[in-house]
Amino acid sequence: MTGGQFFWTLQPARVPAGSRVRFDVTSIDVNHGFGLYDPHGHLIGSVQAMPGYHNQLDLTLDEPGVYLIRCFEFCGLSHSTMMSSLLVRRR
Amino acid sequence: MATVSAPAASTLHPRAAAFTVEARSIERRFGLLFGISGIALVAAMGVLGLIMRLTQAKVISLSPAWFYRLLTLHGGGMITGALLAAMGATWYVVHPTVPLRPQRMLASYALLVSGAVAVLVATLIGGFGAAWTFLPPLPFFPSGQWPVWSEAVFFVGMIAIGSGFFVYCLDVLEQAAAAYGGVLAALGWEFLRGREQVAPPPQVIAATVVAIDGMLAMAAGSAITLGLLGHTYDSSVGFDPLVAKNLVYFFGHTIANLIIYLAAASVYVILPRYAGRAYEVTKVFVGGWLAALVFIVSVYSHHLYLDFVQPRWAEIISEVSSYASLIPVAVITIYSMTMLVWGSRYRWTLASSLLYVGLIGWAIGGTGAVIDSIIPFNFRLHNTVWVVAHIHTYLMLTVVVWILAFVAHMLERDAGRTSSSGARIAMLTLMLVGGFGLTGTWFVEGALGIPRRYAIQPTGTSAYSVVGSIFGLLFALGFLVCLLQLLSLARTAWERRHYVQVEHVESWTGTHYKAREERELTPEAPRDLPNAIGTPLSGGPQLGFGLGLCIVSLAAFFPQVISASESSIRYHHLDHAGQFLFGTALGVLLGSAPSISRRLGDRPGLGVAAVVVVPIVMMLLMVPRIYEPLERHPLEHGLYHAGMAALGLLTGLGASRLGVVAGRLSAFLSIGMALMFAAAMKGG
Ligand code: HEM
Ligand SMILES: [Cu+2]
Repeated sequence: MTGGQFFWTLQPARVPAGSRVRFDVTSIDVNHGFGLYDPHGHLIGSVQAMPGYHNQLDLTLDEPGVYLIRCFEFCGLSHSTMMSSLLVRRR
Repeated sequence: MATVSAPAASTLHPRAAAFTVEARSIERRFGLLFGISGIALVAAMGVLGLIMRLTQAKVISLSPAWFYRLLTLHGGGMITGALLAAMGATWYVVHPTVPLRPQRMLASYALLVSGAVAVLVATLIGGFGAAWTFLPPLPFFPSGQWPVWSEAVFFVGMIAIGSGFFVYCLDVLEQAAAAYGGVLAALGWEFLRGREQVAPPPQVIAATVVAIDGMLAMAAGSAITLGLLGHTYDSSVGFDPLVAKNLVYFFGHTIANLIIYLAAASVYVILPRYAGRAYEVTKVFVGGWLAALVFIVSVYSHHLYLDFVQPRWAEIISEVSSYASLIPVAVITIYSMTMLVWGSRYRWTLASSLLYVGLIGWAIGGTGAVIDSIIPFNFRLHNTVWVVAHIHTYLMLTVVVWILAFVAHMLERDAGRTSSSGARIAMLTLMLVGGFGLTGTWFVEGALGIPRRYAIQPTGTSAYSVVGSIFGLLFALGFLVCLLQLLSLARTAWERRHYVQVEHVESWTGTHYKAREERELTPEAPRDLPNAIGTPLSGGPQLGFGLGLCIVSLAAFFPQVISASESSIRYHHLDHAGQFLFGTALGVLLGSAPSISRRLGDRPGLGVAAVVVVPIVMMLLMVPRIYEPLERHPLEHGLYHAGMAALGLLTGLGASRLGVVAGRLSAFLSIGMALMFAAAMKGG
């Protein structure tokens, strides 16, 4: 999980439902914030994305669907449109 | 013809005369200068706030680039404006018991105002928009939106604001310690331990706490901001993002936090004047403030270490404790003030109703903070607009209301009247409904997980921004009604200052009539300022300690140490910091030696200038592009190191002119700045 002005890259971009996912979060430029919403739009976790450091966030994603990712640390011009998503597949 | 002067009407509680001092013109002037400048800045920045909220509501369209410029200016300008006014209020109530120095206050004003101007230029002309918290390295990633010079101007502005507050804090600390016989006595510690029967007045205890924490945070702020300024000149200056983040937050959060404490200091004096009962300092009060003194700093120092790999729980603990640190003082203040007002036949005027409303705002904001800190999934609110709701509850509904109260208090006393109750009720209704409505929309949005600092809020949520904007407008309207009342009071006060109402009796007909006559201004007797007492080091053991420090720090000049330090920029900087330490220790030692101290004489002005300016020069010289050309030749390199020591010497001599407490603390902080600067640097 890597943040940059103004994008997220994640590996892998899809996981099976019910799996325990460890997000290893970092940044290639400025500070970003990794925030994950469940398919209903509830914020379920967030962690700092800091250049030069790796932060981990462990979450179990039970429900299949599209999980939206937003930036939670002001990172410049397109901070509010810096989005991505994670697909949780039905097993 | 007989003449009878009309008795001065009082807006205060009838019993207040027993404990209320008449404000001298120096206090009134500084109070008005700081209060009015602060309020003007807050008013202007409020317009920007509305523009931003309307942009989020999609009522007006503003490009994200401009949104972030305005956000940067709004944040920095509001903090500076509120700080200015709160500083003025505290000066106004502390000066009657502790003779603070007018020159220092003017210097502080000049620095703060020029800092605000620099921020204005950097954002509106330069286009800088990395937010007033300038979390590195964002300022250096402008996405083509701002040039390097605007970064430099912004950092210079922040350094000026920080230095202005530093000068103020230094003066409060120095003079309070001199007036009460040491810093522990000024903090009420001796009273708490039962060694003294009478405690210092509440405003002195509060102001001293703010002064100490303020100096620590401003020193940290200068160190990191100078590093960032260096980067604008020499991009090889690298820094550790984690250390930089902690220093920047320590500076920004502390300055924002201290504003409410500073404002509270003035309320301890002003509110009782409307209740007719003097504020009694209890041991609980002293204990609460001492706890705040430690909390404010310790919260960030443990943040500094635990943040390392940023485990979630560590962040939550530090967040919870940073809210919790506000609680003792808030509870003590709100409870004791409520008791003071209770059954006192509180006198309702413009000032006193604002004071009361600010107290309610603090109680509600504080309750929010408690709820917030006991919610186990607190992280869900982190960096959402919930935080924005918090900031505004504290700053808008307590601090801003109190600074308006402060100016109203001064004007009412001068005018001998208050404003009409209709205008007061309209104002309070608008401000309360508007203020809590606006923060309410942020609280709801925050609970829904909407991030803060979004120029474009997630689709489907702009209704909250529309409602928020309407409430924001109501608040602004209430603020305006308040300004109009202040203006009208100012007119009356102006007339009363220059003319007296005199009643004449016509000797022929015996009828009475009133006329205005020019007032004879009585010149003010100047007060002697006691000079700082003592020197930072005195007596054999202390001088011996200073000597020991000098000898140990001589190590920084050993060729072996120097060449070993050249393995990295950070170590080399640490070596330079060591040389600076040597000079500072030597300066303090020499300045403290009785014979030299006598010869140097009382030079508090030069002393302050030295401890503020010289460390800044020292840190600027640590920018590689400046010192590297010098380091090629051994002789020049040697001279550079001697220069570091010489700058230290100046700082140390300056600190020795500031008395025991302020002298020690400022020498310690200047060395601390050199070390923090070195620690935050990376590369090589
Ligand atoms: C009519 C009154 C006001 C309105 C409409 C307003 C509006 C705003 C808005 C829209 C934001 C950005 C929120 C976001 O992150 O999405 C903001 C941030 C902020 N406001 Fe206000 N504001 C007002 C009054 C004040 C006052 C009185 C103060 C302080 C004395 C203040 C201090 C701040 C600060 C420190 C920030 C944070 C800046 C940042 O995130 O970098 N505001 N305000
Ligand atoms: Cu980002």
